[in-house]
Amino acid sequence: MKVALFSAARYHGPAEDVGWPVASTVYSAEAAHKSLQTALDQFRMADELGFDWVTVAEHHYAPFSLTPNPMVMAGALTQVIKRAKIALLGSSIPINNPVRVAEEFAMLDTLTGGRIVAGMLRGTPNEYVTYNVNPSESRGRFEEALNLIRTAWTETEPFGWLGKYYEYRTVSLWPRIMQQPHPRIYMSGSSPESGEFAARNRIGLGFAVTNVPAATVAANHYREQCRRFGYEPEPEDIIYRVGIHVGETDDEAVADFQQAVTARPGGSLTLANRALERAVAATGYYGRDATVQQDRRKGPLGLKDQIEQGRILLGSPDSVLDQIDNIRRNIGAGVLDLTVTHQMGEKTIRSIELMAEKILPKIRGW
Amino acid sequence: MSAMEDLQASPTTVLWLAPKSRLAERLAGPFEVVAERPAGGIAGCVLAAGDRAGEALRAALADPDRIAAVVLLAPPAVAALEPDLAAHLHEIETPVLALFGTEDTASPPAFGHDWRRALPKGFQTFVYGAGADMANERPDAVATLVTDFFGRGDRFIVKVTDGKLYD
Repeated sequence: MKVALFSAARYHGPAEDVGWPVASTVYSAEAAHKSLQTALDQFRMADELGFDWVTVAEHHYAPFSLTPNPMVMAGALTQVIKRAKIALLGSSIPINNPVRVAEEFAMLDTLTGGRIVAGMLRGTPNEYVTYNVNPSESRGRFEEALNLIRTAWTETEPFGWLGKYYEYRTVSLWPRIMQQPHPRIYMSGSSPESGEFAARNRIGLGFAVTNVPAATVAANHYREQCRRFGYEPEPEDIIYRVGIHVGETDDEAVADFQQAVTARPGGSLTLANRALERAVAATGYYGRDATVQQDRRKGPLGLKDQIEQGRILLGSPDSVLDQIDNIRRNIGAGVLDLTVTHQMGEKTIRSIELMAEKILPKIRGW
Repeated sequence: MSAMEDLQASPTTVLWLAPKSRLAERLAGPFEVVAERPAGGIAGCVLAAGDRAGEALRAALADPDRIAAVVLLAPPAVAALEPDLAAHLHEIETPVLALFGTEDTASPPAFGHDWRRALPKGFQTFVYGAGADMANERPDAVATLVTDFFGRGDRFIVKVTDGKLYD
């Protein structure tokens, strides 16, 4: 099993953190600077301690994340991370210029000597508001953009693209992508449509903002579809992203975590704006199992239920190992993308150290 | 007067070496579409589907000054051309645009690479979501591209349509 350390590079400073988008009238540039620096430091530490990947992601218009362009953060990381892979999980391709995304991935892959993992996501529903894209076009744009990016990576003669959402008269990438034929691609895979598309296109699946029972159903669906399309997925084709805090004992971990985490009303960026959530749902964004897809985002549950459902990994190293084993056995995930609770200063550092000392060596052979 | 200037001066003829299609209907407005090569050659453009690519290229070789542009829909692999034609591809100065449907397994987009390398003014464009029958599957999109290519030749890569939203 491979282990990644994910940070959204949350802003820690004064803010009026309600709803979405979040106003930045109350804001500290110093705090933002420090927050990004903290994220870089934690990524460096993860690299030094033996994590397999470090992960960045794209989120907009809220203090939840200071990496609206994860490519820029990854660019900084190319100079910080010496050994681990840098995973973009991911770039929200339907709201960006796909050729630009292909170029940025190629630059990063070249800068790192071929250590980029290329996640391409539809993004959370609120992201469509960011650049004024109709959420009902999300899946169509996603599928076309992914095809276009893969073509841009692999075709060495200039080509034109006559798409449904994108048109280019000529495309020719410099630098080229370094990994051949291209880096491992992942998409978000919670919905049945995503599982089918991933299987047909032979790409990996990432699960986030979900739980073990829901992800197990989705992973089984993906494997079934892979069989249909004659693709044999490896364990590394499935990523499970989950929040984590490890303490010396269960009690200590739980107490520290509860003190540090003040739950955001509604539990997610999209749910923080009810009007937006209803409007997005009305466009058909969620696909054919809309209820399941909306429900899996809903919180908050009690901490015990969250642990049981694998929505969070929390406790002593031994307890967390049991929780990880549950993920591996049920979902068959080969990559754990761990979201550190990164506002806890020394306790966050200790949590990462405990992962590296007590957890990574054991699960590496799983 | 060069073929390109001639083309812009008056409505042009398109020699149609392809089955009737929704694409042909759309091009019948701006162009005079003819199915037979007139005696004495043709002044205008040529569109050829599939294996008829060879005929279109031979026309371009025969009438270099009078054929402004050639469009090939899902042509075969360059390696599958008759050797006497393949040997002369590098002499074709006419802009040639080869279109491939991304879902086409018989003439896949990968064929475009060799076309692009073989022709001095060769272009390849991938038609997303279409198979070999792109002329019926995505007629509006293909008609817009082909009209632009027939009208502007190798300058078609420069966008000239309006991108401004509001005054």
